[in-house]
Amino acid sequence: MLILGIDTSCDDTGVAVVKQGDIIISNIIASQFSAHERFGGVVPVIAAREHTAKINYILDSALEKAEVSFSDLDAVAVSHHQGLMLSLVVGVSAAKSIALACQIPLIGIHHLEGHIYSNLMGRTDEIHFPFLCLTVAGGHTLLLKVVSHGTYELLGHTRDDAAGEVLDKVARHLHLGFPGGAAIQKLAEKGNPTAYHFPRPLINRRDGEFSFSGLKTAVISAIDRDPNLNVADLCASLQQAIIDLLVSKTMLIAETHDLKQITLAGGVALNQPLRKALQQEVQQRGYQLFTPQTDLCMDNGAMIAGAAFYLYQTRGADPLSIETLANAPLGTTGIRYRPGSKYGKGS
Amino acid sequence: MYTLLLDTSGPYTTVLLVQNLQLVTSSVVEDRPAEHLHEQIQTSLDRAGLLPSHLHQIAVVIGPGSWTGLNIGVTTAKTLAQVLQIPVCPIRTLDALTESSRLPAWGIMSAGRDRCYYARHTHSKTPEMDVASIDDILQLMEADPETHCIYEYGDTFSERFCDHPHYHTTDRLLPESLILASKNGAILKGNSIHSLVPAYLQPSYVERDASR
Repeated sequence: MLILGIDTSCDDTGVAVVKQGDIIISNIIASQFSAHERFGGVVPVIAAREHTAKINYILDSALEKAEVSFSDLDAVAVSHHQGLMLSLVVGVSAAKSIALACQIPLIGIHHLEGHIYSNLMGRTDEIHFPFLCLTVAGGHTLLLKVVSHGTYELLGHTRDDAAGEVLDKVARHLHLGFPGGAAIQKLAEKGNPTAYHFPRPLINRRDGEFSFSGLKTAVISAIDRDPNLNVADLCASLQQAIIDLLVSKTMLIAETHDLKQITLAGGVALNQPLRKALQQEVQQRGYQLFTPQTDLCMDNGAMIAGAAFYLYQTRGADPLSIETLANAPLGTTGIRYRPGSKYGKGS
Repeated sequence: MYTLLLDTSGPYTTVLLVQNLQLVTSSVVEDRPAEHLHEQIQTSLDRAGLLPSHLHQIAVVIGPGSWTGLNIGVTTAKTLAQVLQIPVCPIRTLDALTESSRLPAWGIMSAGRDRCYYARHTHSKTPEMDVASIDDILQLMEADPETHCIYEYGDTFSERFCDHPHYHTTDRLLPESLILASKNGAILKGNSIHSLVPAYLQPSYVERDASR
């Protein structure tokens, strides 16, 4: 089954062609970094403009690289839930048009499901249900028990900011450019991670709850207070605080729920020290850690097509009237994103 | 020759199926083009007993108008045309607004902050659209004795024109006007379709916005 996957949930225009949910034939990601860089973060109106102007070129590139045409496709999948509304509707409009013109099934995918499935692609023989997924990016930080295809249990979440957001906001405060994660990781390589003593909120709480806003405030205050700031030391200390929080909570939840396979997903999964720290802890316990390949950590169309291959078999196709939602419940258990209280269980 | 005509510029989503400039089916739904548009297209094709592959051309309103609506309409038209390998005819809102009126006529619509998009349509040439304050536009109209009609898309300035005998408002572009505009519009083919963007993204408007 050949599926075209489209993701325009934030600032990357991603289109991919994936065979049987595992074989990525093409995966084109058009980044908008240069359009947003001067603002130090994603500007929703600019992101939607860029998607509208570029989506058809990216569709052509993905098909050309895969050496297929629209008539070869068996289905089209799109992120229609979770993200920037103005951006989501562009990808959804394109996907619906392809489904209509080719008369093929339309499969709507929750953006977070794409990240969860980025680890399963090509590894369904190795990763077995249930497993633990730590998905961490600029917009979310979640610990999920993946029970079966499309069924998740929320085991941990941030009560305020996402981990990636802290990195982006601190990088903006330091004028390090956008996105902030890569810049901070690079500077942290030369810094001392114990130079600044930043708080690790909720680290001693015996549950999966995270909080990053206090850490963000502490780091920004340190920047504003210290005239002789050592940026490398500060970045290393911040990165270490985030790693300590993510690793300790992940291992606590894995042990509590007896989940011996752990997957890491989302943009922050690109952070090498985080991968290394998790790997060490996992090895000590005889558990297994799975991380996605680099181009599947960022927002991309391949993970959407991969998720669609498996979820289509249980959920079937969606109608052309499928709605687009910025904040949508996740999976059959209805995990719901709510601004303010962030994550919680749907009613 | 079948043309699919899409208008998502205002509070209504309009889908027309036209054969040789004759209306075959018409579907008008209020609000929420993101959910309705493609279903309306499928229903229109079904009612006419057609498949998407029977379409020869797509015409789409490119603005000005609803920001998100235009993104949806233009992306849909471009992608349908890309898959079906057929041409696209972009229609400017103000052209469609005055297309079936007695000329010369003025087409206007709110651009926000007491400003207005306007174009003066005559028989002789394609009108240029511009943006100005409503007071400036009123002065231009007073200096234009030939003006027959003033059409406003929406009713933001209805109080300013209440004494004008030939002032009309509309909350949606009429099928006959859209069909005429699609007949007179430019045609984009092949890869040039990819470069089609809503009016707010076209270079002339971006430059004007930047200069203000």
